[in-house]
Amino acid sequence: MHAYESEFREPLINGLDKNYTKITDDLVAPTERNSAAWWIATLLTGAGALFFVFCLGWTVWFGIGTWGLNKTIGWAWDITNFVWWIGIGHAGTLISAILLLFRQRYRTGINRAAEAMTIFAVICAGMFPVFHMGRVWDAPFIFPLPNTRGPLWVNFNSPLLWDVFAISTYFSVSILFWYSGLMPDFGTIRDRSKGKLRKWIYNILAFGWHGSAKQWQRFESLSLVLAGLSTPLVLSVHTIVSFDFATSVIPGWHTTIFPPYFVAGAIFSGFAMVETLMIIVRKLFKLEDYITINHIESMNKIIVLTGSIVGIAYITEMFIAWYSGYLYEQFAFYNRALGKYFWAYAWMMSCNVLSPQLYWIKSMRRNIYVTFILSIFVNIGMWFERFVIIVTSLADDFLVSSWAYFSPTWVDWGIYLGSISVFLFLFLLFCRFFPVIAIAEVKSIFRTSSEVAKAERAKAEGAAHGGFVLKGALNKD
Amino acid sequence: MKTYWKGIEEKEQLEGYTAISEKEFSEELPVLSSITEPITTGKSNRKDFLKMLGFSTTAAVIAASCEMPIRKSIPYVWRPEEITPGIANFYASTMWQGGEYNAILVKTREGRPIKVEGKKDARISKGGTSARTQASVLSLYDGARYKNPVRNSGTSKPENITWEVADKEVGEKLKAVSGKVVLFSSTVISPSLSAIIKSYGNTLGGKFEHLVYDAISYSGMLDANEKSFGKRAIPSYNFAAAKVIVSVGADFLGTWLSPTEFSADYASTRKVKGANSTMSRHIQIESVPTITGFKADTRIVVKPSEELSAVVDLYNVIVGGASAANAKVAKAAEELIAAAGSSLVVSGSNDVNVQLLVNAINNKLGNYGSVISWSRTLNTKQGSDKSITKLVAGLNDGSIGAVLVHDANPVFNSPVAGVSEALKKAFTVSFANRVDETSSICNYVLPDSHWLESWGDVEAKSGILNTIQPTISKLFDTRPLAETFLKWSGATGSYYEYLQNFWQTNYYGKQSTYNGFWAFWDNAVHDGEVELPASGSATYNTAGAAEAVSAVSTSAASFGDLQVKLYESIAVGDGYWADNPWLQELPDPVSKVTWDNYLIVSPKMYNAGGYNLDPHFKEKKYATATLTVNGKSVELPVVAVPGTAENTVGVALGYGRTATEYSELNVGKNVFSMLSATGDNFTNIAKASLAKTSNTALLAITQTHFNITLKDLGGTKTRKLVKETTLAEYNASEAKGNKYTAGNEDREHIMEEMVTLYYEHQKPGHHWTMVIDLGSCTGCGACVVACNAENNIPVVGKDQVIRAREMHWLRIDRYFTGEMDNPDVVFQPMLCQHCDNAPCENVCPVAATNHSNEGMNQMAYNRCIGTRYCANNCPYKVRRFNWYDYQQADAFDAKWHTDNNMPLSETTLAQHEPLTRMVLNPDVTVRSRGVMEKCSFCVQRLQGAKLEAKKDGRKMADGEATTACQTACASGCITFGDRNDKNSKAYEAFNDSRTFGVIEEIHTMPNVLYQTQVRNRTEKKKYENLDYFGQQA
Repeated sequence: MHAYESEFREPLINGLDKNYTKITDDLVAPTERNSAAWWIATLLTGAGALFFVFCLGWTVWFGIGTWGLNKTIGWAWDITNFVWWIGIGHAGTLISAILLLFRQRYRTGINRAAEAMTIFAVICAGMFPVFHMGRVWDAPFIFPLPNTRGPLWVNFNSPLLWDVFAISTYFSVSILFWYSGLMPDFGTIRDRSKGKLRKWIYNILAFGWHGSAKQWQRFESLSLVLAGLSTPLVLSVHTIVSFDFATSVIPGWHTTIFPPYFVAGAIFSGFAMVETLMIIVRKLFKLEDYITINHIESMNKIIVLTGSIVGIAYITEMFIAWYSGYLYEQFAFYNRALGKYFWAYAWMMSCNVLSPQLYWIKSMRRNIYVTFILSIFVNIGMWFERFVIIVTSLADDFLVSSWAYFSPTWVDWGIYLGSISVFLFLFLLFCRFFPVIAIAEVKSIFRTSSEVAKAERAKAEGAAHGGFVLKGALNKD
Repeated sequence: MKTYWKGIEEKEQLEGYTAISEKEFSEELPVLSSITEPITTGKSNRKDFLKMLGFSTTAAVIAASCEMPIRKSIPYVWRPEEITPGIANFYASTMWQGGEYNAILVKTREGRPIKVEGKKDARISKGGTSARTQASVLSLYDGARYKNPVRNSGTSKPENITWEVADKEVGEKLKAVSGKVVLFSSTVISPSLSAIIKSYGNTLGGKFEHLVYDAISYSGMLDANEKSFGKRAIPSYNFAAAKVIVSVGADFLGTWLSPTEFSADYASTRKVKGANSTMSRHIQIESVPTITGFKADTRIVVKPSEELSAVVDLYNVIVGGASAANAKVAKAAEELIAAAGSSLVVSGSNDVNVQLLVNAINNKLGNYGSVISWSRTLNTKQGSDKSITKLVAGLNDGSIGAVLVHDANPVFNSPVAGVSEALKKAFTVSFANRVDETSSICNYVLPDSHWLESWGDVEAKSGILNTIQPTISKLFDTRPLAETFLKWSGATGSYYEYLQNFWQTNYYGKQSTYNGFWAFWDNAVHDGEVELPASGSATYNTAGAAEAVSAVSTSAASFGDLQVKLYESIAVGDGYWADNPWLQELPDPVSKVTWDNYLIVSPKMYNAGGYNLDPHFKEKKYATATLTVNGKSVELPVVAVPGTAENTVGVALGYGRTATEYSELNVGKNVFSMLSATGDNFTNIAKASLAKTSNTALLAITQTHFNITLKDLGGTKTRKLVKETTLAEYNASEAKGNKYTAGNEDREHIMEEMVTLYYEHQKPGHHWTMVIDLGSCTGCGACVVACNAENNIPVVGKDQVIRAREMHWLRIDRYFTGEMDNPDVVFQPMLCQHCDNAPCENVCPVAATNHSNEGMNQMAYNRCIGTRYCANNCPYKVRRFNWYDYQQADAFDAKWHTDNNMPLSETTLAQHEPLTRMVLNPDVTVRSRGVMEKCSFCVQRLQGAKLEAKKDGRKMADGEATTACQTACASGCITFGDRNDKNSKAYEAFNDSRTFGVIEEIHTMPNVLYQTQVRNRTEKKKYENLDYFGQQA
């Protein structure tokens, strides 16, 4: 791709020693070396993932009664976790699809890992609607399959059914997008492979990619088509998830603001999770030149934007509750902020609305440590947001006689922490065997900075290196 | 015509080609040949053989390895005359158990009694039932029943013996006993059994004595009546005839004397319709809240000792013409005087002097003859408190050599100490049919049959006779008590024959309806009831009244600042019912606590005493306190109930059983020892002290209330979940022709806005509608237990109730309004509202819950996958989820559950026993784990009624289709029927000006509606600004 070179365009990849070989070396390296840290982390998270399976088994064997739910609160951590994970899964698609369409080329540094994260998050998310069913063995009933049960058909009025379609579509498109992008890179790894088995495996993974012009042309077209398909999904999936609540009659759920509010929240938490993971990955795999502070700053800008949108949504809900003059709505929001779950609301407000406001300050946006801590905060806050919406609304609804309180059991904890383990475990496998940065795509942005900028930088670097200009920085090809 | 040929073979019509072309496959299938031809012909090869072998072995293994559950069904070889499989039979009978009387119909299916229904034409219980009656059928299938006679030597394990051995050994021992032989029992109201006991006593000569003791005692009242009327009996009360009722601590709608009868009579004076409606006026003076007090028009809160002085005040004003100390009581007295002749004063006290005063008051008011009648006496309470004192004294001084215990549990519920030690000194025989504290220490247990297995008769009111008929053959080797005594007295012939002879001799001649004894007898058994002419009378004399005034005044002054009142709980009574899990899980109507007793205090005392540990009911954790009365202490959790008098503690009797089969049923603490001796009797109020402990306890409370107005935000709006008005306001707005009456105005606005964009469900046939009158609902809980029985609702146990997982399809919501120290209370039975625009229906992804064309919201259990979305979206929160396999709907039995450590309670597991499962209604599916369930409007009963009409080829009449809750209700507060039928009661009630739907402004279009509660009083409370609150101040 030959892009227009702005005179002032800053390079998207740092480091003066870069050339195409070096990029390949840097990016394939993590898949070619063994590390003790990786083994320890993988085994730990693997154990956590097994505990997740154990807890699910426990639930299926004994019954949903092993969770802390009750007659009033039929959903708590299960659906909280579901929405949380789905939200986290939003950044990948947004980065890959929307930023691709908007030609935000810096995205290539982070899109691969973000997409992987999306897929793993959606896998985690998908577990909850399945295993929260009282009779998980009858789960196929939710598919509109022709059957011998007479006229029985699924209920197309139910938002839960919409969820089934939304999430399965999202998952399929995301995995296609992710995998098609991986193919050229698998080809690269294969070509570098020394072992026969390794070569054979990566050849299969690469679907026989050999890098012909026709393949590249088709690859580009496919990327655009999938980007086009994914873009509406970014908005629709969480909109539909929000319908689970918005179409109900429960005060605190029955709100038209939910779709945009949920989508903003999803992007918010997704970017935060990308940051959490990327900050660790760039450090461990020495990818600071590819995942630059500029990336982090850009993401932080999105975080402060979406965090503020979410904050406005919170305030709007409060205002509407007051403005509606409707007692039940008023009570729901009064109770949310000052009732028995006030601490959850406090967590949500401080993590989601207050903490990102730090990012109005440039130095904070560009500070790795601040970013890392805040990204964790944002994910805590977003978990609490879902908890607040789901549990506090259900706990105290219309008829006072049925008010109740939810307390998690060890199984609830096990499933929640277990799902995080599953996520990290899958991500660690991904880091070890797949290129965490899209090699082919990154190469396309290697040459986008202007000659002027290059010269400027070479000069600066040269001064730093004692007047010696590194060759790679100025080489054209 | 040209012929085309495909090849040389066809062209040449080679031999064999034609045959091949007709086949589907041109070659022989090798597999088929290996079956059809012997392997030696060589056509099938070794491979084919191995294929066949492999396939058939695998198929055989698969088919054999799936263990199919073996279900044994044995057809009738000779079909019993009355039994058609699938069709229920109803038999008239009478329940007389644990001090509870009810004329009923027993529903049997394939020879199993599974449910009881009130008998609509019953003269005393008037068609209603109580929670205990509804639950009694479960006791028939109780695993704790004695299965044969038992000999208990005391040293080794109890041995099972045969009746022959038992009769021989017991007979010899009774003969050999030197002291008196005492039959210790609660009230016996069977005339034939009384006669048998008498004749058995005669065979023993002077050494026999029958001591009658009721643990919930009316001895004081009986003694007072003996003084005032010369009759140790209780007259009939007609609450329907009373225009002004003043009750001093008598819970006549819940537990006092004959609550089922009184509820029906009382409710008949409380239903208003149209302008110029009248109502009775009910004033309750009480210390510890009861459902009766909560239903009262005016409730005067006094301390327990002041309940005594209130009677003195009433006496002073009404009889003495003097003034009263308490102005509110004085006002009540004036109202009574104004309604003289049609008023009624009742008192729950067991103090003779108090009852003497009450008699004097009623006599002065001229209520005898009009409201209170001596023409028929109420026989259900005849016990004397002297009996228990006599028993213990007699045993201790050796004058009693043998004790036969029938329908009594003195070891558990005696106020006198040392019963158990005393009993051990004598030869003891128990006739209990289930394990209890007394039977487990008796030398012999000769189990009585369950009443559903026996013949019998009952005379609850003199001249009104009921029959008891067996509805199942004896489940175990038990023998009815009457039969035992008949045998012991040397009579030949069965009790059944004796009973017929007895009726022929004693009753046949007194009636004129039937000609010939058999016609009389058959009809008596068929109807279950015979009314003989009333003949009783009594004349009042003032004996003792004047002395009583000073005695009661002195007594009232003797209690200290902190007082305790012991009360009878609606569920467990004197403890007899405590081994019934349905009743244990029935929330107490006042406190909403299940599975326990506890100390009731006022909210003020609760907060001041530092008991409020868990204001948000997160864990349902309660602080405990030690209550000390007469030197006896119990430690119990403390619960606040608004409307409790200050410095007053209420505790329920009947809890703290120790010998029931499951430790789970041995909940609470026994406080019978805290009854204090007053004269010859034991009274339930005493001086007490209370000390907070540092311990806490979890209480399985089902409803937790908070202050839910938005007062903190300066708001004044309230949730209009229940509606109230006063009689005057109701009449005024009715007279003006208002479509919606006072208290119900907002409905007009709601109905105007009832427009919808959605498709409306068509209901061309029936449109089932239920209307519940809040004014007459007493919250007693009979409907809740009836629903359990009808719909196979599991008991989940204390732990699950603490986790807010009770399964009741029908619950009774309790709302307080007004002041914290003396609130008004409304009980609201809450069940599936069968919304015509149901929020639950559109959210189910698999359409497991859907709408019928008769307006019912239905559940398809085997379609349900358990997402619980419907329950979340139900604004009434009436849906119940099977968190575990509570009712053994899955293929696993109790043993599997125990082996796999399933977290189910003992009583829940007991439901999995084949014996207990006999109580299940075969018309209703038991729900498996992971399935949502809820009220079905008793769809099985509606279908049954429709089928009956269809068989007869006619239209269903109004009132034919009934729900279990509706028929159970003694107050008749539930109207159910087809709203499409313009002549139906349901249609009328639906269009009544008092009718409203709960939160119908969210457009649920419920088919269950409620009617505004009307109270007959002048003082207005601001109903538009109701303040609902609970234990958090």
